[in-house]
Amino acid sequence: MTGHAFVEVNSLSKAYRRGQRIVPALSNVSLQVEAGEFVILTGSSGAGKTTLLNLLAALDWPDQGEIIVDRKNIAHLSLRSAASYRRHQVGIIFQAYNLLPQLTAVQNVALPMIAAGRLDLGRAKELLGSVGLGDRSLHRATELSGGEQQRVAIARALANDPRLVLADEPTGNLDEENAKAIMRLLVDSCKLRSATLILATHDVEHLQRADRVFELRSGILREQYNRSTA
Amino acid sequence: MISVRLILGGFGRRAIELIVAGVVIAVLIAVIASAAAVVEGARVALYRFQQTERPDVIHVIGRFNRALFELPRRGNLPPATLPVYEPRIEPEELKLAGGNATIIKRQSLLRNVVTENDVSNVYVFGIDPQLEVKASSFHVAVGRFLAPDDQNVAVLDQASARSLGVHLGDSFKVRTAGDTDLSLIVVGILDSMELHAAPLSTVLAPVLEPSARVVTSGAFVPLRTSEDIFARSTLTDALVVAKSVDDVPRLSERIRQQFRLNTGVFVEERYTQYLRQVRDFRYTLALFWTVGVLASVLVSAIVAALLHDVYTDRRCQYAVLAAVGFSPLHLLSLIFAPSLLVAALGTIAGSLVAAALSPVQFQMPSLLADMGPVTPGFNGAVLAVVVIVALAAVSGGVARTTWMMARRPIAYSLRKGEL
Repeated sequence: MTGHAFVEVNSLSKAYRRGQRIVPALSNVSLQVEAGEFVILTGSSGAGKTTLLNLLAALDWPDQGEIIVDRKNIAHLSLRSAASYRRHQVGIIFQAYNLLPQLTAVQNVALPMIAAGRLDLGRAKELLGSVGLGDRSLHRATELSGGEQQRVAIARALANDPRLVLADEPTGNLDEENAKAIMRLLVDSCKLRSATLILATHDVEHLQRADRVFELRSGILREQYNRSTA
Repeated sequence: MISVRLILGGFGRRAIELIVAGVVIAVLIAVIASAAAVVEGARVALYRFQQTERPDVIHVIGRFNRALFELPRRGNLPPATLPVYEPRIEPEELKLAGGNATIIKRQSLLRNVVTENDVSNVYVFGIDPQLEVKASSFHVAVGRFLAPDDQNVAVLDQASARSLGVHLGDSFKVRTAGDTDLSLIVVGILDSMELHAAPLSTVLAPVLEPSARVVTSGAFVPLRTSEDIFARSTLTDALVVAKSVDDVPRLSERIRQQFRLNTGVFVEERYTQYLRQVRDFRYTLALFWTVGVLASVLVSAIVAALLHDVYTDRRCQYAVLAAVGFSPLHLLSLIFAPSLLVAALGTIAGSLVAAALSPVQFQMPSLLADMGPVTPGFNGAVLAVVVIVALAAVSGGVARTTWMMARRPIAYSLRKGEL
């Protein structure tokens, strides 16, 4: 790896307090991801995948270590700077889709554009079309199936053309057929936009498409697979 | 459209609690607005009473003496024994006792004023025109009121002017202590006046208000002119206006001490009587306030609890918006908007109910009735109170969510919440 990886995580640690107990989620994790790479984080439930993604998305603060994205340390950003970082640099896809139920599909896709102050419903519709939901744009989130909701979430994550897409178990709530389709869509969409994709999953089905695969076990990260050296 | 849905949509079953919160705010505001309006009305009544009673004014007065008399200069009229105040108050002594209080000096005297064919009794008041208006009121119908540097001029009321047969610009003569006539030019005629602590009306003299027990007419001259008429600078009476009502007991005691060797000088104040009268009034106001504040706290807690539940369910939505890049300020406006809307609608509804149901005027019980009717007043102060109460109520409900979004990681709200 070069000294200027797009994402660089150095000695990152994070622990949670559960009552009197301190539970370590990440222990001294280091990781470098090049721009445009597709990286998968695997590991069993509670291994720390979501924690790492949350830290990469500036949705949480690490106890120690640094997270450098595009040469900027985002480990301890102010609320305002973190919002700006998420608005312009990152697209996030959640396992539970997290679509707002009162909005239609196209309105959900448009949310990052509203945050950025450049609402373009035409482009939001285009994005929905690109995930195969052109005809469902005016349906409320609650009127869509799980697979459809995750497609909307993917379109939403791509709305501001982020350079980094973080997906946390995006197929975790889907059946096998839908899961495959969603994975294909997500990876292709990111490749098309040259966006870096870091995806957390414990589903080994998807591993062969990744450039690199890391395994998190009890908060410790190990590289399992590297396409360039395979 | 999206913003409206972001603010008002997605409450689900919690929308009912939001509506209930609005209704509770409306009831609270109706009670608070009514109570505040009554308190405002009572405050106005108290102020009005204070303006009439002037408990801040101490009246220092020379002995009311019947020994002095004036002789008519013409005709067969018998000598008359006329009651007048004696000019026994030394201005310097009064100043010494008064300290930083305002001293309104007076020399009032009854004079036989001689005209072409008649002689009549007219009260002549030597006053400091600049200070006298702080305690008394004069309404000039024609001409002007006295100026500080005036000399040998007078302002008369209409009754006295008629009695003397003079008009604006005319002059009339007043007999001085040196047994000479002093000619006074009429520079103004009053159509009404209210002299604070006016002398009792005991002799036949022109009157503006026939039923009044006190003197309601007279010729007002500058103090230096009355000194010429009297040929002395000692005062018949004076008003000492305390800086604060609470200073009155101390100040009046000081004046009494100052004049303790002068048995012809009396010190009168209305403070003690005023205090007795307003005590009940103040207690009632304090009770109103206490009940109002307790009701506000109690009902605000209910509103806050209702809104807290509403916002707890909604916290995950705000976390999603934060995750897609909404700025803290934008997020804050979206968090506060539903509450502010509910508060605004509740405040308007409650205020309208209060305005519609509050009595136009009512009489306070017991001693307070002396202060006249109380008219509930809906003014800026009432508006400020209801707005503050409504904002406090909804702020309590929003506080926890706002704190969570600002101080806790977004991931925490995402993890805990459910859309």
